[in-house]
Amino acid sequence: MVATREKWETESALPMRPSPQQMLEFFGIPPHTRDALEDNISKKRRYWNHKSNGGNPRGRERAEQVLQLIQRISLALTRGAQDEQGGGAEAVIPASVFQTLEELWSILTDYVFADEFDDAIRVAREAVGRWRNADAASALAWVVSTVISSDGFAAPALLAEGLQAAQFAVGEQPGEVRNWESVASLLLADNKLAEAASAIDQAERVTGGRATSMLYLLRTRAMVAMRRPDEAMSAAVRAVTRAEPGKAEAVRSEVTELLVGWAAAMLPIRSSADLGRFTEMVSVAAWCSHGVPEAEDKVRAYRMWATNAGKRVFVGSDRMRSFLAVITGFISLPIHNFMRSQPAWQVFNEGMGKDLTEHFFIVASPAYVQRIHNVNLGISFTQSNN
Amino acid sequence: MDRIFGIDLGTTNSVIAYTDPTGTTEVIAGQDGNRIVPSVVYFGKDTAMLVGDKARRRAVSEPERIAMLFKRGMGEQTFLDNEEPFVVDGKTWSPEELSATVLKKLAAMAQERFGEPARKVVITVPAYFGDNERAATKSAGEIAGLEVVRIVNEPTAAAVAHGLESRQSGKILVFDLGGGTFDVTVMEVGAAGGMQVLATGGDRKLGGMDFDNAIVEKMNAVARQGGLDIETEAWARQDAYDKAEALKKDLSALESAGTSLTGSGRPLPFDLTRAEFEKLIRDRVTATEDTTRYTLEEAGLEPSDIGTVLMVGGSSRIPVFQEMLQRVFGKPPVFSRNLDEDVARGAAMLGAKEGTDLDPRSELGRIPKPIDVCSHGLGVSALNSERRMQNFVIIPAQTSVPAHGQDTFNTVEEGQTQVEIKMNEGDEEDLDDVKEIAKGVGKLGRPVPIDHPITVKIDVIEGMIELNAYDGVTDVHLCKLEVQRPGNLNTMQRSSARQELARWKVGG
Repeated sequence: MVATREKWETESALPMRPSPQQMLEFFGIPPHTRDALEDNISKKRRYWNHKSNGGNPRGRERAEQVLQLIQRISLALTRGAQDEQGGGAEAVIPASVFQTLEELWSILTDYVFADEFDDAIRVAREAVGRWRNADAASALAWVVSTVISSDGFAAPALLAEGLQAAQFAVGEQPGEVRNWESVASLLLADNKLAEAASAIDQAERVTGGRATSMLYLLRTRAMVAMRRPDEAMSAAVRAVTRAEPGKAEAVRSEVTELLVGWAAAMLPIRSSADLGRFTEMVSVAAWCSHGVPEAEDKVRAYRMWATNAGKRVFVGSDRMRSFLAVITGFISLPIHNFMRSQPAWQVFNEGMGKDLTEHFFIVASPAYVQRIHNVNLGISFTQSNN
Repeated sequence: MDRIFGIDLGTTNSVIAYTDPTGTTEVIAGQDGNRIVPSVVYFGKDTAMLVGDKARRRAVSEPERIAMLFKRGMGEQTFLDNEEPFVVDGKTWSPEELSATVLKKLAAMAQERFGEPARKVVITVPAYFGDNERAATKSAGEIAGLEVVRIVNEPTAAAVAHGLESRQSGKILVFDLGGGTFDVTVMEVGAAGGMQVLATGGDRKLGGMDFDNAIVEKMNAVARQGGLDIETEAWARQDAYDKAEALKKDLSALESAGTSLTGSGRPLPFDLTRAEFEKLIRDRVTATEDTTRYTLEEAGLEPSDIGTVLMVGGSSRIPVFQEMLQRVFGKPPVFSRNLDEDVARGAAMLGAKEGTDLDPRSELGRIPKPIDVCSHGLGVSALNSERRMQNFVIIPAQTSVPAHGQDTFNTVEEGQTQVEIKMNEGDEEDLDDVKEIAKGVGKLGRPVPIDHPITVKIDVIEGMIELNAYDGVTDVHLCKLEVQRPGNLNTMQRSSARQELARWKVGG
């Protein structure tokens, strides 16, 4: 007898940045209700665990990858879940474990740096329950925002809990930049972009010159999501210039990724105005990436396209050009070249989907052009030489 | 009289047993008095090798001349994680040959006990072993100069040994957690003692060694913090593994245990509580629970349908697995009489049933032979309605052996004169999830119209798989597929391996 599997059980893929809805659908919700989440996670894991022991190495490898995905997504969906009494499923933490704020922060940072997120949440909740003040709320908000940044997704209840703590902390301690960072980060995670941007503006006003690189990094993220390029670039530059020496590389990498991500979304270039915006975004990204090899690698292909996309490529007949050049004593050559040429981005766009022409080949054959346009045209320099 | 011995050829330990004609079973001890032989081989610099405890003791001083855990590579060309062949003094040793050395050692123990050479054996394998792993096990027996009368699933053997003692009937779940592999089998035991396997499942790379690895990782972290290097030197690494295993065993009885770490640097104390250990292996415990529940689902059963949960294998001693089973089934698991020996005892009992000397009046003589199932489905590749190749299962997993299945497929092109047939092992439709085990071409002898029927028949008899294809109109036999086993030794290689092994003196 073999059990019948539902479609969601056998589903192995999720989009790169899945929405909460997509993650729940990955575990069969709907058609099942939210109460079935834990059972469904276990059911899906069982199915793929079985497949990870199949006879085909390719299938085993894929099943292992799906198991990791299940682990990551299920953790994000269930992280910080409390029992019905709201006290957390774990045992109560003895009062002796932390008595001062310094001890609390020491424990929390240890847990967070060791990726023991559930323990960190448990301890922070205990502190809030015990002290009921802004210091504890600030700690809980920090833990939740850090955990959510690391997981890349937040369970709605945990997000709401973190946001409530962050807003309480910021109300009580408006001069504390960390609280503003938590508020902005959690609002962004909740996709409340305008509110996040407004919180960052408020933080700048309230904290004066103490707005941190992290706040500007969050602002960059908000502006990118809100499709406001000028503000995004400006925030990115500030994030880099305000970064502390130990964190500068990480900040440069992060803002470069955000800007390059946007530049990638601008492709293919469809007008001269597009080209201008693309070039500006890429040059700011290139500036941000300076000195960080991985970040420079990310931006390099885009920078090459930004440099070359505007260059004109001759698309006319070489024979006609030679003929006209000879009969006009080469006077017509520059005019003819200009009249019968187009910017590279235009040649690329017009050539896509049509038969391979020589001029399209010249523009599209470099690997970086195909890579950033996310196409594989099956052509390369090697082929051109043959 | 040719005695038939039962052998549990384990990943970490092996055992040999014999059931006499009255149905009494004896686990055979070596000259050193030990009945459990570690599946470890040490290659000496001359043609002498050690198998068992003495080999294992050399693991610290000469780890490069030691082979262990080779069962994990059965049916493949190597067992090493880096996929490199295992080579000693320029000679490559396959998992089959290494297993043969262990079998040779066990056969020698039997010879010492009974004064005559052991010739016939029943060998146990994990239930989820596929065709090539079973064939490789059989081949290991041949290399050791033994006639393998039958290959038996380990949980079936354990259930036979346990069933005869407990006389329980109903549905039982055998949870077999050994040193290197994990197996779950759901069986139905009839009132007369007859056994039918309902479903099997397992994890080929989950066992006691993985728990040792988890402890060693923790040891490494502690050692690094204390400025001690236990990773670089092979002896220090092996020492850490030995200590990890000892700690793991201690923690089955104690709430905390300790040892000292040695390597390049000042020795460090290392303590571990049972709770910490359980945290280290939490994912593995979840994996065993998943496999157990999945196998139940495959059998179409609920935990409450299971009358007895039988734990087998040395790693079953770890309390967290017992707690997990109690939680899932709502009742405490029972243990076989001897966790390390019952598989061999069951194999010996089944061996006795294969022979002709067993007293039919004995209890063992009265019970019918257990009925096994195909642990993997068998099917063929063909185009589906969307014209994409997929695996069409002809004999589903968990079908009782002997099994027969057939299905009819159609040609896809006008004027086709031949058909290509590929046989797969596995139950999934996706070809990436199944293993192609045979392929061949059937000549139709004439051009046939599109949609011409081709009948494919698959038979499984005593672990032997046979596929025959027929013309669906004329019933003419088109082809018979031989199972291909690229990872296994071929006849010539087996013969030369047998000669090579005969040159070596196996001690230990």
